[in-house]
Amino acid sequence: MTEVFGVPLPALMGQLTVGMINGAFYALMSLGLTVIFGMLRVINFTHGAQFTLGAFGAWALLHYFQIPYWWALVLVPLPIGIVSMIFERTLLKRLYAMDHLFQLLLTFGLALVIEGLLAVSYGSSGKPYNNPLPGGFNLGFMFMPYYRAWVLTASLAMCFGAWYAIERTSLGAILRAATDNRELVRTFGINVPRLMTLTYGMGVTLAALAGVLAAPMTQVSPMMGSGLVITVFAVVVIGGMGSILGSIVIGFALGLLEAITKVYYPPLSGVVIFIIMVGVILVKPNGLFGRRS
Amino acid sequence: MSDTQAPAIDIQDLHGRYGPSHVLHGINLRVGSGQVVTMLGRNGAGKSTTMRAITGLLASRSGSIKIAGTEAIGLTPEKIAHLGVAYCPEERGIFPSLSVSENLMLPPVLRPGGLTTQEVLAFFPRLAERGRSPGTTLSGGEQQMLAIARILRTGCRTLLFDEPTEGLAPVIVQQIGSVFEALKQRGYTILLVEQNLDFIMSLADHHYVIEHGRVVDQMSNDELSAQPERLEAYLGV
Repeated sequence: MTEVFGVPLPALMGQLTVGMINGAFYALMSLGLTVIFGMLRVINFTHGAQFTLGAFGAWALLHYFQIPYWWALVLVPLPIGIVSMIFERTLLKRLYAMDHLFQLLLTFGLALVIEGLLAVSYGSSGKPYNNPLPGGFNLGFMFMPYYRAWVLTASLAMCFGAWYAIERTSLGAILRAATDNRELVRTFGINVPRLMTLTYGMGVTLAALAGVLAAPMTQVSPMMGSGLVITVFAVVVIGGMGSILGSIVIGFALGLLEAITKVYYPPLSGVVIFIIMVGVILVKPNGLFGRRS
Repeated sequence: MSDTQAPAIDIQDLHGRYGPSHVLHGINLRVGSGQVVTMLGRNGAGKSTTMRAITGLLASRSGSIKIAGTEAIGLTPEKIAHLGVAYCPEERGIFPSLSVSENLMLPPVLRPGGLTTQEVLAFFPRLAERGRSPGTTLSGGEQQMLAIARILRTGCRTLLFDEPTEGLAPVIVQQIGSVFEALKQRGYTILLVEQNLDFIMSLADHHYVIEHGRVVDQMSNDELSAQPERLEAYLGV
């Protein structure tokens, strides 16, 4: 059997696939965080809980209403996005002019409330969610489960879609301009407060969608999002706050790096991303793709 | 212009604050439709702040600012823009994340009758050549042209310019002057903060002198041309 530095090829490829999948989630989550931060100047500490809500939404639809996965992809993220926009309009908006600490308290507090309510209602051990796409391709050098192939394809498409919408369309130009100089954009007659609400809604919808995507690959549990989001914050720091391309590239790259570490030196795999984060902060405090502000 | 038409900008007893400091102390100022009016005065007198109050960017303001007859003192910046007011800030405000052509096309057309993109580029041919470069790679003069050009597409007929010739080479000042002259011919209303007296005396109809957040004097352009020394007392030149 072919080996790469003493590791059988199928095992290595399997780990790399897992790395790509993890990287896809890092990319989707950090993309939302970074767009929200660029526009609202708020770090959305609720992001992980909103991801968890997406996964629980999919589980609840299947468990209580027998509504299958493919419907959940649409029916779950949209209401979560809409509720998040109401949250932004009614609560978050009041804190923009205040110290960042208050925004942290509100968004982190909301995350604790969501996770607490889920733990009280459904227990903290987690719920299984059936794989909607059992089976897979035998590629010869590895086995590729259909569901993983789907998640990879879908998340790459979403990343590209988000990048294209922000970097190549006129609406994206407004978003970038408002990230540079929010006040001046308002003098052009553009309703920036409404744009901020929409941006928050889009970012959260993306997180909830990632949660639905994740449900069949893991236990749906109240803390699944906060586990992920810690790594995602490291990704955002490494890529550079506010950089779309940085979020995507660094998200996938770190997912892969984590997988390679897991194959060749497992003890390091849990911390390798944070070691890189420390290095990046020391050398390039604005992140690898970040602009000097 | 007929007498029945409301002035483009009519400011009465405007007060403004930056945090705890009270910087505008009852400004009264009127810009007739189709007029070119300047605000003169030393740095820190409150000229830029008055302009930011008109745009709505100065949140803490009171008194009355009527735009073509509509009270705008309590409106948001985006609503004020829809009354037909466009603003070109002193720092030019070119967006670094946007290319030159994205900067140019960013402000939406709010009313019919603005210049077309071709007409704008005919004023500033340099911008067409640099369309794809990032906005902030332009020279200072080109950035100023871009900042002027992009608000001409919007259809807004009342234009606010904060020190548009500051720090620019004479040949570019001349070019901007001829654009302003063309805008005046087309009936645009222009309110200017400007230090360059030669520039404004060939262009403006009326001048206001601002000191310590108040209007301390005003004069027609003819009066200023007749006795320029009247201004020297205020500007200390």
